[in-house]
Amino acid sequence: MDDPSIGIELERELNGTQRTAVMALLTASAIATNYLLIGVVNVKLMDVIVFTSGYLLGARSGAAVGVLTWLVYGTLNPYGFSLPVLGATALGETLYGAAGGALRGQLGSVGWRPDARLAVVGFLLTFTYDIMTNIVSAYTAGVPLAVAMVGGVPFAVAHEFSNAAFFSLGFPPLANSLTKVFEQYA
Amino acid sequence: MLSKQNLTWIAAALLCTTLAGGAASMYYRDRLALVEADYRRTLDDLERLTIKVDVMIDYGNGTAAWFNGTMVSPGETMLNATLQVAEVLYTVTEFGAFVDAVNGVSGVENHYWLWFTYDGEWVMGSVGADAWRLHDGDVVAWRYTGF
Repeated sequence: MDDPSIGIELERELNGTQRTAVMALLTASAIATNYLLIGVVNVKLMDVIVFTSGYLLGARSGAAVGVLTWLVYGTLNPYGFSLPVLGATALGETLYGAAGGALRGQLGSVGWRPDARLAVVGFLLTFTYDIMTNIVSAYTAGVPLAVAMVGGVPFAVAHEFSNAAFFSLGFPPLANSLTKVFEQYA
Repeated sequence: MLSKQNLTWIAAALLCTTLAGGAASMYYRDRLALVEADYRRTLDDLERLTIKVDVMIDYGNGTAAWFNGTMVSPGETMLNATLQVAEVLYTVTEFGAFVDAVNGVSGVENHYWLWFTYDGEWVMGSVGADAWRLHDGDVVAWRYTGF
């Protein structure tokens, strides 16, 4: 579907129960892919799923999907649990959902094919997210901020470029196919 | 002509490459500083475990080469120090090592490679080069000497 208003229409067409079900479905997908990619540090499909949630359901719902995903993944995580880091990651993840909702009008038609604009969006959102979470992680771990920021560059770069690829290649078919599915039930 | 919206996206893409490039340069600058500090520490360790000597090679034809600050192990022999700075052919005799050629220079009739130490004046070596042990700050020389 090439209509720029697909998200807005879908948001309007879903009732409260359906919206909750879709949010739960997307949250579950984000959590499942996180555990699936647990061994690949900083390469996750979660961010594009949360962004898609915002795009399809609106900024607030997208942000909620981000927070819910982190509440599960950040609590039951083999790398350990840290409340400040969980707070930062959950808050940071809301960026993706909020941006998905906010950029619906700006992006216009996304089509099915890879979209370079989404690579830019994915990169910049992830850069912001990484800065924020690195600052909180540095203070939590008692590591000097400069050391944490510089030492985190390889991980941040992996995160940013993988998200650029996922947003560019994955978002258009994901958003369009979900829209088609939801249209059947809305 | 590019539209304003396209220019905005291009600017955003350039911002991405700038941020990635800036982060990468910051990271590699930090790595370079770490490697340099590690190199300096290793050099300090090495200096504590080595002595420095100055080695001169006089080819007897007006050409001489100095190898100042040559780092060798404490108690290293003159011969081994020379082997660090030059290609040396030598024969081990019952009187010690006899150097036949240094950096390919040999074969001139009645010319021999002799070694010297400097202590205010050049003094010819009294033993084989493989028996003379060097100390920090020693100044030694090889001269292709004719008789």
